[in-house]
Amino acid sequence: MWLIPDVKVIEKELNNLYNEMDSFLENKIREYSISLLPVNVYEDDNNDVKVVVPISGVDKNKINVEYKNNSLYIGVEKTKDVKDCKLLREERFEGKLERIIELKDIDPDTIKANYENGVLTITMKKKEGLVKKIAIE
Amino acid sequence: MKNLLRKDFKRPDLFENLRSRMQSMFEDFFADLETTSILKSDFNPVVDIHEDDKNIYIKAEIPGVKKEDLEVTIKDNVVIIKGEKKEEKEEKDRKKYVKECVYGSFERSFSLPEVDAEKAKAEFKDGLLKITLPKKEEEKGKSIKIE
Repeated sequence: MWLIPDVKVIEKELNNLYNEMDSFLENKIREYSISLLPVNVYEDDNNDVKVVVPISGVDKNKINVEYKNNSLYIGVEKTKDVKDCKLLREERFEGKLERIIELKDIDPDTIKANYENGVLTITMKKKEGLVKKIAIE
Repeated sequence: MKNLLRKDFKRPDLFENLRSRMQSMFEDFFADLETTSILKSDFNPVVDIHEDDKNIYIKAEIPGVKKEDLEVTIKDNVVIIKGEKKEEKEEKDRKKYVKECVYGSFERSFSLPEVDAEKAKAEFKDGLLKITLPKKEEEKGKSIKIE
């Protein structure tokens, strides 16, 4: 009889297994969704911030860039123009993609975006003089 | 006595077995996906291939690569797309706080049915490479007279 484990042990083991699988899948899904619209953010000492997003073969009008709530919103709609063709291999994504990047203390008037060679580049400046010293009375 | 037995009772083999089997199942599944390059950590372009009666069309997403750094060759009905995605020098030295883009050299090859390599065309715009490969007209079967 002692070979049969406690029900609680079984339950615990199954739960562990389930959680492991869950986090494994979650990570893979996150990796995949990042790989669809990866982003690089650069910053230099002159308060210049640059965001680089590679997006292949998209019409300029299908890219939407917004800055609100201290975040940069990048939305892209990827379409494929395929007519009456037989599909032999399909890896490219079709549909809407969105990324939200938190970028604090940006001067919204300095944001510029450019799409060239399949790369979306957004440049902006950080607000200067944010440090305010307060004298103690 | 009961306590003594409890102590000996380790994780049952049943679960170890199940765990390792599920693990290998998942690994196999994702290994398959990874060979199609979708989940690879190095840069590797994603590709669609279509065909109609006359042509085979290959579309590859290669954003941020210069034309000079891209090479397409066709040999023995195998198309090879080769190149390098470089990070700009000025960007390389900068401070980064989000880094998801991948760089490096890549190569993908596809074996196709009989195509006419001489008449193949390639176009590269907005980081999208389009290759059109005309299919070779099937040679008409030659009937041999039986003497």
